[in-house]
Amino acid sequence: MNQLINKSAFLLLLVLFSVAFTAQAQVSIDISGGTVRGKPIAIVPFRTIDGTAPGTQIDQVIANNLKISGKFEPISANNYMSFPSRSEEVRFKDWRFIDAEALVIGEIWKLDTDLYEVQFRVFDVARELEVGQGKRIPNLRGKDLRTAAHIISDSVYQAFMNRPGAFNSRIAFIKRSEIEFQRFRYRLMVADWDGFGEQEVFASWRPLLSPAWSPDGRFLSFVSFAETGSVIRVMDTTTGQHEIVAQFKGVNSAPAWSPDGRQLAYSTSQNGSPDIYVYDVNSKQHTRISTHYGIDTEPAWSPDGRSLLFTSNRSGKPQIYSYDFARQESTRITFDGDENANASYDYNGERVALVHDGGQIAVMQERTGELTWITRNKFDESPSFSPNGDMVLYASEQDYEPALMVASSDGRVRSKLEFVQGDVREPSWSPLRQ
Amino acid sequence: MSERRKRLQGRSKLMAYIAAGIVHAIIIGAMVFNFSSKPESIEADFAEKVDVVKATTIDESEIQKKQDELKQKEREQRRQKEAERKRLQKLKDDAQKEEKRIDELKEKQKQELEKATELEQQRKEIALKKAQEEAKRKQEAEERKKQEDARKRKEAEAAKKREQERLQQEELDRIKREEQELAARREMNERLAQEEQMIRQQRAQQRATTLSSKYAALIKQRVQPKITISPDFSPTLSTRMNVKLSSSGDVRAVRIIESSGNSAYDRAVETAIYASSPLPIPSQDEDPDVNKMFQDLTLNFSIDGR
Repeated sequence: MNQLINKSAFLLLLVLFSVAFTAQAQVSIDISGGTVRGKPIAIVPFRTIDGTAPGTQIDQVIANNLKISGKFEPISANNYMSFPSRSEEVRFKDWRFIDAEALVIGEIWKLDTDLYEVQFRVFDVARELEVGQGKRIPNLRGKDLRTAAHIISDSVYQAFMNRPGAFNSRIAFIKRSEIEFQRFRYRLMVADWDGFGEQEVFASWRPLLSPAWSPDGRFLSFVSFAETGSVIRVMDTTTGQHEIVAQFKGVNSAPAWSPDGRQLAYSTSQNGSPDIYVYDVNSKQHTRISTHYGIDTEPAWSPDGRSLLFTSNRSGKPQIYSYDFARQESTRITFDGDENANASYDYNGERVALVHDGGQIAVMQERTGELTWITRNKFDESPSFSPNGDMVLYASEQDYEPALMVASSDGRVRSKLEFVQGDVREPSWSPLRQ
Repeated sequence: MSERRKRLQGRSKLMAYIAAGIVHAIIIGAMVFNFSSKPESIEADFAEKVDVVKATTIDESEIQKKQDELKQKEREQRRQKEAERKRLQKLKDDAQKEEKRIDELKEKQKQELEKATELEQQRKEIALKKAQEEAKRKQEAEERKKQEDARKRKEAEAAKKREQERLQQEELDRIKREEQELAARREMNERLAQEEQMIRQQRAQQRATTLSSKYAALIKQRVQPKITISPDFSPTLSTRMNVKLSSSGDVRAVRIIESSGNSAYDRAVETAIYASSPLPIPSQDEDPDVNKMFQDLTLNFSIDGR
């Protein structure tokens, strides 16, 4: 009897244990990896209400924006099973079926001749809910529709990436046009971030170099050549007015705005070897920062304004150094590769875009020095981060022709800015439009 | 039987009384007869004496003779008187003797009577005593009998009680035994049921394991490609998610148990889970338990699988 009890107790214990075990043995599945890709997104062609469709196809502008960012992969409209333009028409099933995780729909209302209003909605197909807020973008002229598309793109980007998009920013670049045989016109151009709508803001028969945006996006500083040599100019893009801020003997180059917009760092060889100077916009004073006999050039401010990056060959070959204003010391920060040059920070100072080994674009983690290659080319140059740090703009070559390229900062997606044609160089990405 | 004995005893007692009576009558009768016969003889003696006195008084020469004679006679008479006195004395003595004897007899009789009475008394006493004793004995016997009876009754009762108790005990034992048997049987059944359940569970578990691994693979297959990985994610990232599903696999809720520290990766994983909804899970028809189990998933994500 006792034995029986013992035995049954044991059995009971066993049963209990196994039950507890099964209760505890929750289904646990290990899933590794994933797909290196952008988020699949469906952008339904916006329905035009009352009138013919305008020239700008908003959905395509959005798709292009999102695609170049590398964070999204637009799904071709050929695959769509439905074409909703209002939220009540959205059937998530349709979008799940084509594996879309995000959906953008909208309508273009033609209110008058050349007066439009765009409405759009964004959906998280995976979670089956609307994200962001459906927006109306009123009072649009026909030419503003691209801007509307960029606003929508930013909204989508914000909704899914949790940080602002860069689609309303601009780029500046230098375009060389051969007006006559071997006679070139150098033009400082400003365009939408995707290169659309380029406009000349300054032109010269002598080379122009190194355009740089002030933090408020209003001023551009750049290097132009005069009879005396290179000079640094600042121009107001809103008025077209410009002035020379550094015109020292020798080479004056590579201006860079401080984050607060009150100072301009640049390189000048007025004392023989190029050194870094800081120009105060208000006091118009120039302060020497580096005194090394080597070449110190291409300064770039950290986002907090406490330090400067610059390129120096003081170790023999060009490497990136960081100058700390408080300690008044320069320390080398690049050790990977023979050469590193033309560095600039992203918006939060965590990464540095630079030219590696004379022609490769790389992104370096500032803290670890770890490099991510954006390109493995030989002649790429002038990298600059998009204002949100997710893209890198640089000059490259495509089919033996100069081209402006935008890559995702992870280096996965590289896109040529198709709207930009000709001999283009020295691109620079503006801050966000304020 | 006792009644009869009682009656018999009563009868013999009566006969004893009668016998005693007869004996007494005889004795009394004898005594009375003696008394009435003796006095007659005593009166006759007295009459003779008176005559003798008158004759002696007449002649002188004679008288002398006569006196001699008379003297003789007187001597005679004296002798006779003496003799008479003697005889009387003797008679008196005898009478006294007799009286004494009678007295004695009487005494004796009395004594005898007394004795008889005493005897009777004694006998009576004895009888009484006997009766008493008998009664006592009887009483005692009765008492004993009573006691015996009581004892017997008691014993009987005790026996009965014992019997009852025994029966009760037996009944109890029987019940207990039955209960034990029942319990044992139940125990056995239970054990069997448990074993059966264990086997069932094992089978279910095996089945569940098979089902689980099958569907785990399906879930993995479905979710994995939907995780949007950015090349700039650190390969060491890993995150753990708790996923609540409906019985049909619809994703109800996703909760981060352990964040990777990279919100973009966490979000990509979360999105992949939602984008995979409904997840392929064992249907309720296939296995309700496994279906239930799959409604609460823990998914461990990592980029490089280490």
